[in-house]
Amino acid sequence: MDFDFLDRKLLDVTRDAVVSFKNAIEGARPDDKELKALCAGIKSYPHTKALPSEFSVAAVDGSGEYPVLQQDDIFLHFVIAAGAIYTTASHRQHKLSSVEPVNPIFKQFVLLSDDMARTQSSYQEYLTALTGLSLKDLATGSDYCEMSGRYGKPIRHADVRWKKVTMSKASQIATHAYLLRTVAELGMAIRMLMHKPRYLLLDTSLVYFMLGETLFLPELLKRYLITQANAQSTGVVALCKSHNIPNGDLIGRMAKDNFGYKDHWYLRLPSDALGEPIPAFLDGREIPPKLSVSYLFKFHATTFPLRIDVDADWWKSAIGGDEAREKQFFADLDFTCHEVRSFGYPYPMHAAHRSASLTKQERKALKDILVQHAQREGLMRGAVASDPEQLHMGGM
Amino acid sequence: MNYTEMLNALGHEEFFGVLAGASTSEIVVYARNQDTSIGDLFLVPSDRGGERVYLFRMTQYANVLRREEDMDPMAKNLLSMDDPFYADDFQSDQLLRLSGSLLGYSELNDAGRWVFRAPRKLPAHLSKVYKVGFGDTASIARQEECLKELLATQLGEGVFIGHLLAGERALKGVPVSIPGEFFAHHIGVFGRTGTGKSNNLMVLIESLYANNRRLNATPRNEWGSKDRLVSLFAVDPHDEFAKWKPNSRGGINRIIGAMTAAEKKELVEPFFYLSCRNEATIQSDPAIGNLGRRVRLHRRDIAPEDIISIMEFSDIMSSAAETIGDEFGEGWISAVLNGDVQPDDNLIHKASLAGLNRRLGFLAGNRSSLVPNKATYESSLADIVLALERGRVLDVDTSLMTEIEQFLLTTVVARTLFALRKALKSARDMTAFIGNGEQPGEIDRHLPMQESLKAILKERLLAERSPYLGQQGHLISINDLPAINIIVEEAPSILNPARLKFGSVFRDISRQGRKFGLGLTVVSQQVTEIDDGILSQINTEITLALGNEDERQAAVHTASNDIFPFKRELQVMGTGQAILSASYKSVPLPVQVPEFK
Repeated sequence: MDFDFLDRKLLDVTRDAVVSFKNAIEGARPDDKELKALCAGIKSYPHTKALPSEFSVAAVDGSGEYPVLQQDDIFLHFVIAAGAIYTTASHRQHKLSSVEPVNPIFKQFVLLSDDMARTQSSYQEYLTALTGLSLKDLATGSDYCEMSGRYGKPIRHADVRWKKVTMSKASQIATHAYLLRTVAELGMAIRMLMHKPRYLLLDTSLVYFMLGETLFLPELLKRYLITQANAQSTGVVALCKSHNIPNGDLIGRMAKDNFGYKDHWYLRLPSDALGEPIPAFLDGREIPPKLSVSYLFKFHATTFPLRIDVDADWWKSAIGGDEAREKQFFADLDFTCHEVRSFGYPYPMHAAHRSASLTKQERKALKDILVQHAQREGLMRGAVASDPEQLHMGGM
Repeated sequence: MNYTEMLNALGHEEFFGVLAGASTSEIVVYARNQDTSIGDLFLVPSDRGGERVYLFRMTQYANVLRREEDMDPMAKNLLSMDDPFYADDFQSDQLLRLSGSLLGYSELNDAGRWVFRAPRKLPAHLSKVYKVGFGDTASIARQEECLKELLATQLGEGVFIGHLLAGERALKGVPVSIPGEFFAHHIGVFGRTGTGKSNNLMVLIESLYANNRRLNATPRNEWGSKDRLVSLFAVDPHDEFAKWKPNSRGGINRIIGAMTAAEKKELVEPFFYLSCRNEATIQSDPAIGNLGRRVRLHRRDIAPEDIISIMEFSDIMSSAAETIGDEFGEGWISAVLNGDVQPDDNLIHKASLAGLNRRLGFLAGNRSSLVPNKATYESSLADIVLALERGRVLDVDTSLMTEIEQFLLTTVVARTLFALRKALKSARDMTAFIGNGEQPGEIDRHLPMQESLKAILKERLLAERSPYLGQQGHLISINDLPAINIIVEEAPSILNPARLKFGSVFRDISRQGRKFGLGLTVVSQQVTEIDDGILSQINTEITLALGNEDERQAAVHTASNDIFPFKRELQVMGTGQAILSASYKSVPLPVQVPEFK
């Protein structure tokens, strides 16, 4: 970038931007009364060394290279999703036992192009390979259409078709990267239901921004997952590392200052799904998301407060406002956070992340293999450039 | 064993690790989380470009986890967090990262024999890696058998030195030897005190006897190309080789006790033990009996160059000593000590003569038990020389000698043998060797002073069973005589650069000894103190643990093979552990010398 750091105009603009940022944060700050009322709900739960009843807990995570090859308007993406499933063994030395000797992994190349018919066809194949399900299966096996009607225009089962699925052009790479990865994670989560875990952990939130507006594949999958999970009493726990709660740190500070809880505390946020009024500072932010109950909580002193979203129906049946059950829920999750490799964070999530993530060397190896094939097939060198700009700047 | 049989013997799926990285400078292997140690040996079969089995020696290893980069946070969590645990998949994540150097590879030659080669090639990507010494007893035996076959050209045959050392384990099925021929070359034994040099030497003595017994029982035409009888002049500063340690089952006496009468006659008699103790004491020692002799030299055995080789001499004093030697012949020492030498203004300055007198003072009167002052010629030198020419191991107890006497004895024996071998090589027949009434022989030319010794030698070399006469009465070739190896203990005292500056019998022996079948074994705690010229002539090194960085550096620099990868281990090697390097081997071999029992 060509600019003068001493340019008065630039300095003024920079200061203004920072002031705006500060104002935005302060503008979202709950007033003291609201904050006090909210924080009255902070509760603690015990550091958990043993469990009253053992359970299994699954987690999924996704990764990939988006895209791994590209030329003109053709994009080849590489998608990975991994699951991990453990049973607790609180009276044994290792505390968590693997259910599967090797974590299940899904790997798939997905070819997208700006030709929408081709892209839809690719997504169709991708969904089938991942879940063995069709859009129709997802619609009939979930409450998606019903819920869509609750929050906006209703969608008929017959309208759940590929042509109706909201999808951007393939050249909008970031959108498809999110879409492919989210679908992969949810698809793997659906697969993990077969183990009937008590909890199924997702590295995401349960937000439904498009629900009632348009048919969005991740939300359809999410509702299918939750409907199926609820049917077998599996709690889908979406764990958000960024809680996105305005001034959420203030709540953490109050937990410490007012209640003396440096960790092992939780706060359930008022939920629209439970018919509760939403505090003004959270209004319009989808916190908690539609159909969900959210908690802000802290597992351990060395970690930041996190947020979890659970489905409201599951919450009603599994917790239902019972403080003892609520505490046991957090105690159960806390138990999984004491593995040395990820102390303060649920180990099944760590294990799934580890299985899914591509190391630097693996990315390089994947690229090398693709380059070899590309050369053999006569593809241009530019096809394996990670970034079109790199290609233009570096030349052919 | 061919390549497929080798793979079967290793057990295809019993591999210990997988090759992750291979370069000309480093091999990296990811391995199972099983016990291993620095120095372990690994076999890496690979058929890229030909069926080969590579040998990798691990010099570093680290605990790693399959999918975690950093174990620091885990250790911290384990230490400081409440009730941390490992999930059961932790065990399967635990791996070892091994790194080290490629020692070389073996491939089958046209004759179907595995030949070991220097590491000019690398094994293929992700080759399976087999550890020598992994698994049950049967697996380990198979691995050792494979290794033995792969390294056959390197392990040598002849004189057993020790077992191949893999990590902390001596591979009993893989003996390492030095062929007898190479005892005619020079050997360096470097190691600090307490590294087991005495035991190593005792094992060597036993191995030399075994070598000589084997060859004695084998027709000459069936000997291997590098087979040779070996004689050893073993300086024994602690008088221990004959009987070994108290409460032991014995030393040389036990080895000899296991021989038949015929073997004793061929390989031991008339003596193996020399000492300054008096004859009666030696003879009355039941462990030695009549196979021991009192060792003595006579002043007439000592040439000026012997004294110059073991003491500090200036250039002028050296000239004076040589001039006196020329004038007085073998009586030169008595002449100096008796005051018969007159100083002059040319070569024998008064000060030089006084200095010479002082240096010879240890021989004056009857101060020396090794060189008593006798008018008549009484010396063991001829006996020693002839015994060594017959393939004998001589245990020379120097515990009652002063250090200078020990050096003097070694020097006189070495120089006399060197001169005799040169004379032998120069002569075409016995007459030319011995001379006749009219013509001096080659022996007279090469041993110009020692008339008394020569008189005895001439007589005995013509007698029956002369080591220099073949079955048809012809003069024997040097190549048919035993290799004679002389141990130079505390070598820095006489093989240092200052001592060799003005001439030393050892300088000539080090340069030319091997062509006359005469080798030195230079034993020292320090490599740095040995003259570079001597070091450059050593082509077999047995390097034990060394005390400081300078010495380790010097040992690496001196070795005939690249032992740099072993440098760190030279600091920590245990008793009896050594690195054997030799110019005639493609690879340095770590060995464990067994305890002599």
